Amino acid sequence: MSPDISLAHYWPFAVLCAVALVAVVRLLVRETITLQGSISFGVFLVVFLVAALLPERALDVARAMGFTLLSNFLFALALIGLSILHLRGRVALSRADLRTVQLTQELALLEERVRRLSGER
Amino acid sequence: MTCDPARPKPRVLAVIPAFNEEESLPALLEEFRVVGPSLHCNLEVVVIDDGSRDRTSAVVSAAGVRVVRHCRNLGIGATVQTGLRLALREGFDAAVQVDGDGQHPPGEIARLLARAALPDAPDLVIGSRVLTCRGHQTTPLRRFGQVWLSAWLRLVCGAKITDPTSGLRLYGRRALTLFSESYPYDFPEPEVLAVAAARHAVVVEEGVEMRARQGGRSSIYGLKPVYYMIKVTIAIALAYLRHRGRAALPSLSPVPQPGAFHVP
Repeated sequence: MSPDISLAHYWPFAVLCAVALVAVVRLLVRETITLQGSISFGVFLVVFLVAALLPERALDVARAMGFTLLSNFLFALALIGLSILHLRGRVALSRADLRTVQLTQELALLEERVRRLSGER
Repeated sequence: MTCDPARPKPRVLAVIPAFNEEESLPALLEEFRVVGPSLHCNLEVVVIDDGSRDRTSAVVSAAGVRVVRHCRNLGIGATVQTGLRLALREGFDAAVQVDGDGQHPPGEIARLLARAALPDAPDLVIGSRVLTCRGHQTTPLRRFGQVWLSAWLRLVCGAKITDPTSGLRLYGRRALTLFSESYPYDFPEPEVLAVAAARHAVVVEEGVEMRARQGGRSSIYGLKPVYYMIKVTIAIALAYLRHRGRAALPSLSPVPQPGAFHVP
């Protein structure tokens, strides 16, 4: 029995994706997030939006990948996508943390040097 | 470094990492003032205040000792590294790490210096309370941790260290060059040994006497020992793998001019 797949079943999902996409764009406009930091998330949302708007095509892709139900495919896609995005975020955070440590160390050394030079005068 | 009386005394920087140690530091710094002149080296002392919330910096300044203050808390590894960078940039021959909680009597530095002056010229001298069995010994649980980490270091890196968690250590110039660039930040002591082994540094131990901490409290309490053991066990293996493929210790860099500074 072929499942009934149409936009009518997926419009709430499409709306959610669109709202999230608008939120990302707003963050970009306000310069709260950089394009570099958000582009992968944006692409991820666009893929989901397209899947929600064109469920028949998405089901073809899902079946080609061994999924019977479109919902399972979307769930798996979301899980994998979010895991990758989370890992990317952790990498960026670790880099920023290491740089912060180095800058704090250099600042402390320079402050001490300035204090000593001021005291020598 | 040498103890040959004909040669000039080596310049040694005592690096004291401190976080909320206002209780224990005055007595420790006074000890340094008394013991310092008897050591066969030109000893200078610097306290690295890791963003303490108490009067740590104030009591150090009042004692007339140099203090470098982190504007936020970075942890013990980054704090020691700041001291090692300072030592390297100001052309010291060696740096001695001494805990700010008063566990390490400054007089024991003489043993590390004597060991560093031997012909094998070690890069890293570890003060081991296990080799002497004198003075304050750690709790059975911590001793078990020491034994496990020793065995793990030996298995993974081939390093034979009896007291891998000791914070009383002397870094020669090659070790200063290496660890100024790359120093583990979280629970660093055992990990440093893995890095040293991977980079073919000469690491030796010297028996020392230690005391119970003179104030404050250990950063490893509650359930943290469990996290500590898991984290350090993984970190040792990772550090060894990460550094194994890299070149042996860098050759000695020329002593920089005083005041030469570098911002990355």
